[in-house]
Amino acid sequence: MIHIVRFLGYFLLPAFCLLLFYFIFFSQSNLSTLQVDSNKSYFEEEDTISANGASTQLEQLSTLEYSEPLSQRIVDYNIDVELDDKENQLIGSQTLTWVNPGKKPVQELFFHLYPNAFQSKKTSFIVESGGSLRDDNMKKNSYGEMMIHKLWTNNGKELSQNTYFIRPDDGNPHDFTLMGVKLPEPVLPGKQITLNMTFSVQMPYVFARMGYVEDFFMAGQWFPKVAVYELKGMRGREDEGWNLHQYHGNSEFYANFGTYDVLIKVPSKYIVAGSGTLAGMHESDNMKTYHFRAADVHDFAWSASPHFIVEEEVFHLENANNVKIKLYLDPLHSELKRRYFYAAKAALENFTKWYGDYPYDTLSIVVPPQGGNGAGGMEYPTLVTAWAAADKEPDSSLERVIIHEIGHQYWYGMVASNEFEEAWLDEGFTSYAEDKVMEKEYGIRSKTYFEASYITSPAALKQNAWDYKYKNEYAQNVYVRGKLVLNDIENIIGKNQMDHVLKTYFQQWKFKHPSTEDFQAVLEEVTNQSWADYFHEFIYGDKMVDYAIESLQINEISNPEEPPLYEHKVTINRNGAIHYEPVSILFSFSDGTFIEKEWEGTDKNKHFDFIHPSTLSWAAIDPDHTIILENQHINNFINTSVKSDAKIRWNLLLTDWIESVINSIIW
Amino acid sequence: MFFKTIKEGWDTTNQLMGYILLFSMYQLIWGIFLYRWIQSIVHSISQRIPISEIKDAQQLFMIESGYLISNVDFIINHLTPLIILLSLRWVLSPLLNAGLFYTIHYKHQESSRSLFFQGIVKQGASFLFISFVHLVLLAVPLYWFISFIKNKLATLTSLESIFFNFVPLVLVFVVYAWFIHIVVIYMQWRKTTHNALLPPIFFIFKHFLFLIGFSLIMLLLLGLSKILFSSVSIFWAGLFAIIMHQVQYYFSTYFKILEVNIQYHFWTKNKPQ
Ligand SMILES: [Zn+2]
Repeated sequence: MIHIVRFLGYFLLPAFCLLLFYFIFFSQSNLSTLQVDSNKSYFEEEDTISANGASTQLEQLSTLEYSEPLSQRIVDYNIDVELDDKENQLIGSQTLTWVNPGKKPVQELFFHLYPNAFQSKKTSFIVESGGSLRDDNMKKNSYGEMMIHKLWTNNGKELSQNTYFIRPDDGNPHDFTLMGVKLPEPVLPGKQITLNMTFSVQMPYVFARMGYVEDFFMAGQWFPKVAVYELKGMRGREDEGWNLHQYHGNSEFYANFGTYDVLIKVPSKYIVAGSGTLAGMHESDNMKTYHFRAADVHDFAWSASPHFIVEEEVFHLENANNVKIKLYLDPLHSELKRRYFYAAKAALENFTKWYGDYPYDTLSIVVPPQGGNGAGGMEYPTLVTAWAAADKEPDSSLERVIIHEIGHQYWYGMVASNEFEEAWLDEGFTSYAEDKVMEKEYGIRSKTYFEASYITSPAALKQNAWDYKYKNEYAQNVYVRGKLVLNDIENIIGKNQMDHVLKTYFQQWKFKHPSTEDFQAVLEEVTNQSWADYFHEFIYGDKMVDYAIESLQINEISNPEEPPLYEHKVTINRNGAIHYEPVSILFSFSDGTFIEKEWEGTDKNKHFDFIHPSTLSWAAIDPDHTIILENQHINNFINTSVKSDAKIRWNLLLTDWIESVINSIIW
Repeated sequence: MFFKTIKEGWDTTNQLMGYILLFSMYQLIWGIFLYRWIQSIVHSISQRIPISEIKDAQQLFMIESGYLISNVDFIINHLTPLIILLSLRWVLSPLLNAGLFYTIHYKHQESSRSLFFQGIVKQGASFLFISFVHLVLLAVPLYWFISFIKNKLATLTSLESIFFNFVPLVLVFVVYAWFIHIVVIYMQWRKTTHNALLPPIFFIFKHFLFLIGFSLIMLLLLGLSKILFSSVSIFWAGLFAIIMHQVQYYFSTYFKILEVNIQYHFWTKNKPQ
């Protein structure tokens, strides 16, 4: 017998060892991802500096050859850049002329050196994002950086020694994304300064909106970019000044409007897509130089690949200027140009009608190659990127992303809110607009109640992007909750008034960087009512709506002569903010009858009492899911749970098994 | 020799019928608590499962319950009764063992006071200490294990990859927990017979294969009786099922005390001198 016992032991021991090896192998291969995840992010400190300015007489930027200005042009960039496709580098020089729009002399200039976010694992961007962004993970070669080689003023004064890095948001000493330059003499109000600089960018393997995949290059946030100088009164500022933030894991961009003249030199085989208009192109010594010009934009991006298939169509709408749509297709999608063009035109047409003109003469659409999603689904002024071509027959996400990014041309491109501090004004509005086009043009109506369920961590919509607790909290609030709040407002005031609100807001605030309060003011003006309470709860606050069936009691009233009656007491709680209209509750009885009740929904709770010849079988709040901001549907329903034998048995069984585990360890 | 050990264990177990009854009553009481707790959880979940006539409500239920079980506050709220129950038992269990082990070892001694309470007084504190060490040895890898799963869940998408990543981990943990359990048992025997606290590591490794085999046999016996009783409560409802459920406490307690007795005889025969 003892041999049999030993034998069992012999069998188990090797089995255990095998498991151990398997396990060690597994945990090793997963170690690297763990390390990144466990890094903690730093936060901190809102940086709200300020400025005034309406009436300063600005020195004219030498931008006469550009069209009539639509925006206050504060910056003028002249950039020369060359692509080194072997080393994945950009070698550039730029001349920036900056006009002081304020009423105070300015002593220093600040530049965003965005590519430095990819410099090490310790930058604020990487620490906060945990090395992944928008479902795209950082690869081994996703490092990149920007070097400023020389910096001098127009009269030849070298300023390289006058630069320093600041970290106003978190004090992270490993972050080099925001650089200050001390000027030899102040820029007086309305006067301008011209700075020259040479720089180089090591591009990362495509990740977080920029980089390369084989011979595809996406240059976004690729040049030293001057920060925003805000005026007094702008976005509620008490004093004029710089709006300074580092590059964060959860944050997009904010910049002043201006003009860009960009020369891009690439090896001859490359085709280049860029913001603005292609002004010319010439070829010499196996190199091509593309010349782009853009005005009244606040950024410039470009992309290069030898494989682009370039298609061009003109969007024409009565009473609006013609727009040349340039499509830079990945060969895998060469058959799909109709879908891209249709989506782009549908977006332009509807947005033009709903909000206003698209005032630029070109719109470029870049379709990145497979594996390039890090560069996909991104908006730049007059240039957008689609999702990377992976499928030959993609689903409607192809149209959705085009429409979304073109929506950004309005809310990001022209309205140009501060995406560091109130990103929802861009993403929330764009997601709202995208849904409208998807429904109108493709009949795809998103079920908002599913999207509301997704909001598990509601947070204030107006707050710094990096103050959201985690990536998903940023996304579920800025995109989804922001959009649902707009839908809810639409339900309150009706579709016509909502259209009017958005058109007024766009027309009044394009090219002017509005804040959430500015939107609120437009809404109040158009609807002629106060929205203070609503904004306090849902926009500046983190409220959702949550009505819940708290409890249900049934008592039998027996009566000797007649059949029994049942007394019901149902308690409904309001756990969240107040919904704007009465809430409907449906009660279903076991004899097949229904009772529908309405409740104002303003008190904290409400009791419903019924005396009914049969028992209640279930009750449901808002069975048609009309309350857009209700995010806990699970407590909207209750049934009179049946105490069946089967249930007892399963409870016993479950008890049994849990007990066996406990009892095998302790008494 | 093996049969002899079993026989001796069997004999001494049958001398402890009173204790077996008491211990099974004790477990029955915890069983009732546990049953009530499970009932309340099952009830609060099942009353929220919507009927299919309400549009998309069942999908909403699935989505939102998925979020709820990944919500720490929600889980803590609902697990609190179980955690209180477990911590009480974790404190009581070593005291009961102290009495039981003492009784088995000194059963031939005449004593005016109950051997059981003498055992609790004499070695309760040491057993509590051992049980504390036991808890730490289990909790540390469990904590690591849970945080690992949490991190991992974020990156795994398919059910298949979740299965292949976690099942080996769970198995490794079970084997580890079993090993710690064995060490603790023989620490307690060593304390009872030799009044020494250190684990008899040499003894354990020398008889490792036997210990594995013996545990496996006990596991088999327990599993069989579990299946037997479970199928009774599934196929027969009503009073009979409830009675069988109670009887089961007696059987499982009997098995457990039998196991302890056999381990005792095995220990006294092979213990290091
Ligand atoms: Zn967007």
